[in-house]
Order: sequence, then C-alpha cells, then structure tokens
Amino acid sequence: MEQKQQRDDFDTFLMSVQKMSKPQKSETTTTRIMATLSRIGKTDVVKLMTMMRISWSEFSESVNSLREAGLIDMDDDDKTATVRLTREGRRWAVAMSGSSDDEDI
Amino acid sequence: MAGTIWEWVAAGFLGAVIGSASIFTRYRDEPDNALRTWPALFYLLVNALASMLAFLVIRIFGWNFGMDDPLGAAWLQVLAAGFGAITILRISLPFKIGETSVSIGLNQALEAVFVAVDRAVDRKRGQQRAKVVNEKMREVSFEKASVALPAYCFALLQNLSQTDQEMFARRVNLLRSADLSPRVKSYLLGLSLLNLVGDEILKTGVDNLGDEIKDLPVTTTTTLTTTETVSVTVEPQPVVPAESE
Repeated sequence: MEQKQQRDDFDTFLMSVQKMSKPQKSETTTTRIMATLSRIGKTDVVKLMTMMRISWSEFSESVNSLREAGLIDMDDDDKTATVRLTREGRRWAVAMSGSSDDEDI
Repeated sequence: MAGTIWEWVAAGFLGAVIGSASIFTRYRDEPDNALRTWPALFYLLVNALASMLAFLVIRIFGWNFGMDDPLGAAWLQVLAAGFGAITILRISLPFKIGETSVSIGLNQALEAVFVAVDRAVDRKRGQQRAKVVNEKMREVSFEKASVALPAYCFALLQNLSQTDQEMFARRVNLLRSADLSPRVKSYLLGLSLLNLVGDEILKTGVDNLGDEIKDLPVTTTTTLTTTETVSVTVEPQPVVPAESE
C-alpha cells in the first residue's frame, strides 16, 4: 500500500505496459460501451449489457478494463450497480465520435 | 457564542481553501481555469458556508475540545469547523424505499456541481485543447509514440504517482486493442497526455522526440554520400640500383 504512494519518473508506466499482454486482435466492445454511455449517460449495468448484446464475460472484461483505465465509474450497492463515463471518458467518447465523420478532433 | 468577525471569516476561508483542494486534485492540468468558472466559485461558496454553519453549531453547543484558553479554543473551533464541514458535505446515507436502495446526502449535490464545473472547463478549454492536440499529434505515429512519448513526458514531469502511471498504461493498452484508426489513437493518446501533464510538457515531448515518433512519408530517395577528396602525393624516389652479389 505504501508503495502505491511512491512516485517515480516513468518506471511504473513502462513496467505496466510490459506486463500487459499484447492484444492479439482489435476489439470493439470497449468503444461501443463508451459510445453508448456517452449517448445515454449514467445507466444500470444490466441495462447496458442488454443493450450491448454480448456475453457476460466479454462485457465484464471490457467494463473492468475501462474502469481500471479511469474511463468509467461504477457505483454499486447490494441491489443495483450503475455505470457512467468519467470526465476523461467523456472526452474520449467525444473524440471517437468525431472521428467517425472525419478523423480530426 | 457569537465569536469575532475574524473567526467567522477564518472558518469560511478555511472551508473554501479545503474545497479548492478538490478542484486542484480533479483539474490538475488546469486548476486556474477550473477555479475561474462560475460553478467552481459556487462550489467554493458552498464549502465556505458549510464551514461557517459548522462553526455556528460548534459555538452553540460550546464544544471547546478540552481547551481552557478561550482564544485557543476559538481557533480550534475554527479548524474543526473547516475540516468538519468537508466531511459533512461528503456524507451520503443509504435509505431503502421499497425494494430499491437510495443514497441521500449532500454528496450527490456536490457531484452535480462538479459536473457543471467539468462542462464549464471543457467549454473554456475545449477548442484550445483540440488545437494543441491536432497540431502536435497530427504527424505522430501511435505505434511509435504509445510508449516513448508518455515515458518521456512522465520523466519531464517527475512527480506522477505510480497509480496514475498504471492507469495510463491501461489506457495505452486499451487504445492498442481498440478498433480505431491510427490517427484517432494518436489523438486520444495526446488528449490523455495533455490532461495529465499539461500542454507545455506535451509540446516539449513531441518536439524533442521529433522524427523518432513520427510517421515519416515513404519516399524513394537515393542515398547520397559525401565524397571526400583524398590527395595522395607520391614523391619520386631515387632509383637505387640493385646490389650485385
């Protein structure tokens, strides 16, 4: 825990990038989730999953990776779990949606 | 019970200062811009008023926190009000209404204010940010820059926490696998870096790494080498007749 508070120049970044497995194929689930959240705002996780029409494992993996990257926030209690884009996530979503028309921000 | 005017001002000021810490933490790349928006000023005002309200409550109940000296107790009350208010503002109590759980508290209201600050700052900085990213990342190759550029910028910054670095590594990994064009990936990389390190560090990073991270146009050029003229002077040697045995 203490180690988390430490700072270094860029060692942690390099080590983290190296540790992460190199993606084998391009995937669209994360970008689809962000685009949907950008459109509908804060929503229930189950509702979002039904909108995505993908398997639970794929959805869960994508949501986790987005959360760990600080692009979405999750609020969950005993009964419900809601998800929404963070500020950074909203910016990404705007940039990505702009890119579908032309490739400029 | 009343307290001096300075105690009230100090309680309000302390509340605002502690509240501004949230703004600084949240908008690290542009705290000054964030503070100069109406929603941010409203947020500081709410914090100041909450602190003053906490001070009033402390004075009404006469909490001295074990201090006998009235002056010392008064300033301890100011401190308690400043730090106490920020806690009260962030408390969220869960309630059950039928089958659904609802959280009620001032925290939700503060979040709404933060969303308003987000929008105000984004409106203010949006165009400027897009211009910087567009200008600097236009020729940058995502493949070449995805590791080198962040590492260089973090090295320049020198004080980025390990948590932030790990989070950024995850973003880079997401971008690597995302089904987006290389240009958009570069823009998103630049945008994320901009938010983390600020525009000056990003500009310096891109400029200093130069061609190492750029998509260089493929051209068929003939490699020209410099021709050096080497002058060799051969001096005539006297012919020595071979000695006969």
